[in-house]
Amino acid sequence: MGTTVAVQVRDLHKTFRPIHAVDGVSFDVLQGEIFSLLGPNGAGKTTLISMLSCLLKPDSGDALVMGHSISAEPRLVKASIGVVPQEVALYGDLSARENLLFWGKMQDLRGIPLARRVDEVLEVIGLVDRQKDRVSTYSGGMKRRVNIAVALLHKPALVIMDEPTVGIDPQSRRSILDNVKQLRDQGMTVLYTTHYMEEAQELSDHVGIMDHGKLVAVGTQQELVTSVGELDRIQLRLTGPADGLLQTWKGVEGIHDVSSDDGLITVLAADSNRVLPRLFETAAKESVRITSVDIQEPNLEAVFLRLTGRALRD
Amino acid sequence: MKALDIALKDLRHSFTSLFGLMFMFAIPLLMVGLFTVAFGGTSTSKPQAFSIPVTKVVLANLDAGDQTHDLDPTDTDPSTTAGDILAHLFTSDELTSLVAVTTVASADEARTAVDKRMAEVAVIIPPAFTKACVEGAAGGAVEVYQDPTLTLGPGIVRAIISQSVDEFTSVRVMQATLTKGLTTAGIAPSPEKVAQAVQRFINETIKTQNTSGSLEVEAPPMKQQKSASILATILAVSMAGMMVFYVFYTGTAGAESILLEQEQGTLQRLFTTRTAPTTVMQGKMLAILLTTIIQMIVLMLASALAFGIRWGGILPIAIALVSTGLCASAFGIFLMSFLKTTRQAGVVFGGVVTATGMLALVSVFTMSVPSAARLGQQIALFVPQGWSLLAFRQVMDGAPVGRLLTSAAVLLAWTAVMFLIGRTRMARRFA
Ligand SMILES: Nc1ncnc2c1ncn2[C@@H]1O[C@H](COP(=O)(O)OP(=O)(O)OP(=O)(O)O)[C@@H](O)[C@H]1O
Ligand SMILES: [Mg+2]
Repeated sequence: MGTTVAVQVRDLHKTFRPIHAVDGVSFDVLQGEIFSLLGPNGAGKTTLISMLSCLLKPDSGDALVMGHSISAEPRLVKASIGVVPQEVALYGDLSARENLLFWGKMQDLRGIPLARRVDEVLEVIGLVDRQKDRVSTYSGGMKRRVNIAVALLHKPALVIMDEPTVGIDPQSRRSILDNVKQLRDQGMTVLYTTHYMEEAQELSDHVGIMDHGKLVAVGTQQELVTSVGELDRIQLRLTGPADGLLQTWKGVEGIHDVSSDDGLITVLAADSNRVLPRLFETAAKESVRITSVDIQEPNLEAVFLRLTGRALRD
Repeated sequence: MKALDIALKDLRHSFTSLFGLMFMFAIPLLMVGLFTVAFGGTSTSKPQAFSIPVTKVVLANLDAGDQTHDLDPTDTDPSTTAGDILAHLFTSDELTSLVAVTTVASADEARTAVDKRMAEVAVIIPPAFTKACVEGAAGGAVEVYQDPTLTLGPGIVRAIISQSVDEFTSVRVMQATLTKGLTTAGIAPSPEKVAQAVQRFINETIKTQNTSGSLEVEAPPMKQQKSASILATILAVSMAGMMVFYVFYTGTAGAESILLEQEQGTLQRLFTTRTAPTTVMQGKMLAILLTTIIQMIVLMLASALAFGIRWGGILPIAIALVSTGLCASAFGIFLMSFLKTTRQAGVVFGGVVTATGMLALVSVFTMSVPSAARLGQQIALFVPQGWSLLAFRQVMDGAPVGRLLTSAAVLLAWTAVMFLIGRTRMARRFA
């Protein structure tokens, strides 16, 4: 991961009366990283991305993409990005190869270099065999892969992907996620939006969480988790009543809270691995047996829940 | 270059769509085809589709000449009776497209040929024909015996005969006047000399007529030709009307592809590439323009072959074609700039395109109604299609280039206004 900034977003606003679709968003994307924008439906991800790819004019604010202002230098911005739109945007009556050739020409590629690049890209998305078939005959997953390939033809410095895995089979999703990681390995910067917590977790170097047009948090996953003070959750079952034990646990260093609900004990701790041995130790001293332990480390889902009071998918 | 890539992609799309092809080519041709059938046009593939059929004639020339006026002693040519001259006229080159003549020896033979339907008309030149012509003697009328169910063929034959007889009669009047005048002047001409002079005059006249090709077949045949040519004009103008009507459809449908691309997201995607938005729009424009021009060329060629329509000179055609293509494209972009989705386009097709197209067609519907023709033309000029149709009519009429250029200029003015409004509105929509 480099330290140069690929995208600088500064206080972007966009309103579709009466909805404030993007409401004062600012963040940085570093060069060579995967940055995920995580947010539920209607959070404003697509609107934000449309502004970054010069399709929508911001009401106010600006962004620098590879050093160029989206409002002042849209041409230079477009020259350095590849956009994967949320909805598949291809010509159904053309084959995958014809689509790639056409879009390559639109990116100023021609002749033999274009043909070679199309071959490479078809190889990457694994559609060499079906390249001559009309795109309209493809499965959803295959269309999505071509949809991504189009954005990679001209080897852009920044690839912007808007929910590229929506509604496809697990296999295609797997291959797309692997492709995205390969892109980072090749030195591209990826701005990736999703409402799947797992994807953001697997891919991202940095994550921005969006809700109702606002960026509610940005950082590495670890930073996000600690920033909201989210704790590991340890759930245990014990033999017999152990009110004394619970009192003891409350005093253990690193444990924030202990509660009991119908025999299920919940312990909140900053680091479950540190406190677990102490739990077993103290239980043994008081002759209480621990019959089951379940550890839940905090994830982005929990962060989102903490920040918005809602689950990511509802 | 990139605009051309975009245009080619669009062209490929529209020319591989069955629905598009139907609208562009099949329906306009079909409409005119139905029109032709309705007006009883034959399937002949030439303008002669409306020419008069050849009439089969049997001719019995019984003219005995005029012994009292021994004809020109120096002239040994046997065609010196009036009957011979008439017979000669019937078999002349000028009339081969109207009549096919068989000669028989007797009047009965001629009548029998008609009775047996081997011929449509029998022409019997009586023995006293020359006498009647030269001296005004009675009993010299040419008999026309015909199949009673026919009108056209016998009409033509009668016209030919009456013209000749008129000529002979005028010669007879001239002869009488000449004789009288000379006598009054104290010069008593020998009747033989006068007759000889007249005969020579007739011979010379017939000879020059045959060579100069100035023979006029008047009255009934000409009327037929005239109505045939009116029909041909109506057909040609209808074809032009259909073509213009559907070309503006094509322009609108072509512009609809902008909305279609917007709905499938490819337009937005184009706008995120290194291709400038103006290039994208130029590509779309070029595709629409080429589509309309190809449509017109195909329709013109097809209708020229199928219905024998004569469109006119290449340069005037090119002027009308290009200005119409430009105008139809701008028309489409103008209309589409008011719409958000292709679903709304149905209303535009059904309403605006059809209504304005119909206004232009008013000039076609009223063209054969003298009282309404002028008004029809004026109404048509309220819509761009009307100007386009006017341009094509001027091309077909071989109107002076100046007038054609005026129509083209008006079309281009329409184009400029509609394109500027359309483009501005479209541009506003896509940042
Ligand atoms: N063109 C538009 N006109 C009106 N409202 C719009 C428009 N585009 C987006 N919106 C509204 O702005 C808000 C943000 O939409 P946006 O598409 O950016 O969300 P998103 O995060 O991409 O959602 P999803 O995950 O469903 O794609 C929504 O309430 C949406 O209805
Ligand atoms: Mg979206």
